Amino acid sequence: MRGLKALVITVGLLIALAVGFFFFKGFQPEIIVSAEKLWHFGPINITNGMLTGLFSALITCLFMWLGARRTALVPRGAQNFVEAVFEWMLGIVEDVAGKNGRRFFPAIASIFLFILISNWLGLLPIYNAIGVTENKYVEVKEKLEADPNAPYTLGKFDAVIVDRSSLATIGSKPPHVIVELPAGLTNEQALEQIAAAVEEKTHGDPSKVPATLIPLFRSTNSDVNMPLAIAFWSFIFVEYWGLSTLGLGYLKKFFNPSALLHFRVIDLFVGVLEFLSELIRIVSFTFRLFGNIFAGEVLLLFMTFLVPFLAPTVFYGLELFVGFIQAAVFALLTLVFAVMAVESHAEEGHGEAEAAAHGTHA
Amino acid sequence: MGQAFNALGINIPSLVSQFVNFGVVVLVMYLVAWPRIGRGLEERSRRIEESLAAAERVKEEARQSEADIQARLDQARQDGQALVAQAQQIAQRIQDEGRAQAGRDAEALLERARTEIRLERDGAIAQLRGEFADIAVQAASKIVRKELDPQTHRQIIEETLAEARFDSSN
Repeated sequence: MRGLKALVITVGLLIALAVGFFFFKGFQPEIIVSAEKLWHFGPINITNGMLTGLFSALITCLFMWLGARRTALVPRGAQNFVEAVFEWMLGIVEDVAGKNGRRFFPAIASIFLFILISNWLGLLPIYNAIGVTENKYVEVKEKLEADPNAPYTLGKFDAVIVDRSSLATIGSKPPHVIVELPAGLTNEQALEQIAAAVEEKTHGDPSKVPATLIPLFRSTNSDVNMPLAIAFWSFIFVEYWGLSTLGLGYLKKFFNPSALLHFRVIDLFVGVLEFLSELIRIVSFTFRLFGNIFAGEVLLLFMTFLVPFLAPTVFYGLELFVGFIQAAVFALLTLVFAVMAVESHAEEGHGEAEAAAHGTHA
Repeated sequence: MGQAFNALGINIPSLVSQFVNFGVVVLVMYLVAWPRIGRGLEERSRRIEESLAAAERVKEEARQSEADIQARLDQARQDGQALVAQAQQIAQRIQDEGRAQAGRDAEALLERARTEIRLERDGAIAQLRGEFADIAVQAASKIVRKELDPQTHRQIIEETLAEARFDSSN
C-alpha cells in the first residue's frame, strides 16, 4: 500500500515536471547585472534596486518597531518574536565580543536584519515578475527623431548606431528583430532601416513589437550598489570603534612612526598591507553578498524558465538558506573585524609573548 | 574602471540612495529599537534574576521549615511515646493496686465469714451444751430418782462439760 502511494506520488511529480517543461515554458529570462532604470528625475535615474532598497528598509524598520512599540514585561505575539530574535543575536554578539557586545550590537543587528529581510523579500513571487515593458524600437525612434545627429547607444544592448557598424537589437525576447546597419548611414537612414525590419517582422501589428520586461522589484542585494553601501557602513563602524577605543594609537597599525625611525621596512610594509586589507574588505564584502544573491536570482529565474513546476521549490529552499547565511556572514565578519579593531597591538603582542612563554614552559 | 562600474551598475545616485536607505535602518535601530528593546531585555533579565533569588530564598525557607517541622514531629513522637509509657505504667500501677485491693477485700470478706462461722459455731455449741445439760439432768433425775434443784443441777453439768472440754482438748 505504501509502495503504491510512493509510486503514485513519484509518477505525479514526474508528470507535473514534464507538463511544466513542455507546455508552460516561458520566455528566456534576460540577465542584466546592473539595476534597471524605472523612471528618472532629471539626471537621476530611479532604478528597481533603489525602490526595493527603500522597501527593504521600511520592512526592517517595521520589524524593529513591532518589537519596540510596547515593551511589556511578558511579551506576546510580534513583540515576543522580535525580542526572541534580538535576544538570540545579542547572545551571539556578546559571545564573540564580550564586554563590547552591547556597544557593537545595534550596528551588527542592523546589518544582519536588513540583509536577511532584503534577501528573503527577494524570494517573493512579485520580484522579477511584475514590471513595465520597455519597447526598444519606440525608444530608438524617439531618440533618433529628437536629435538626429547625436550619438546614441541602445542602452544595455550596446548596439551602437552611431558608427553604423554593429547590429541593432530591438527587444530582448524571442523573436528578436536584428537589424544590420552598415557604416556611413545617417540617423535618419538608420531609423528607416530599423523601421522596415520591425515592419517586416511584426507584419504592421504594433502589439507584436518585441519588448523587454523591466521588473519593478529586484532583490536589492542583487543591485551591487546596496552591498557596496552596507560594506561602506561596515567599514565606517569598524574604523570608528577602533579610533574611539584606541584613539590615535589605532592608526599605528597602518603607520608606525617608530618603524620609520628605526628603519624597520617590514613594519612599514605590514602597515601598508593592513591599510590595503581594510579597503579590500569593502570589495570582498560587496562581491560576496552581491555574487551570492545575484547568482541565486539567476538560478531561480532559469529554473523557473526551464522547469516551471516543482523544481524551483527546491531552489527556493536553498535560497532561503543562502540568504540567511550571507546575512550572518556579513554581520559576523563585521563583528570580528570590530573586535580586532578595538584590541590594541600592545595587548596582542603581550598575549603572543605570554603564549610563547607558556609554550616554552610546557 | 569606469566601464566596469557602468557594467556592474555602480553609480553615485544609486550608491547614495542605498547608503541612505541602510543609514535610516541604522538610525532607527540606534534611536528607537535598541534603547527600548535593550531596556526591556535588561529589565526582564533583572526581574528574572530577582525572581530566581526570591524563589531560592523561599526554597531555603521551605527547607528550613520542613526541617523544623520534622524536628517538632520527632519531638512530638518522642513525647507521645513517653506519655504512652507513662500511661502504661499508671495503668499497671492501678491494675496492681486494684488487684491488691481486691485481694485485701476478699481476705476481709473471708475473715468476716470465718468470724461469723465461728460465732455461729460457738452459739450452736452453747445451745447444744444447754440442751445436752437439760438432757443430762433429765437423764440423771431418772437415774437417781431424785429431784435436784435446777441451780445445782446446772452447776454440776457445766463442771462436767468443762471437764469434758478439757478432755477433748487434750
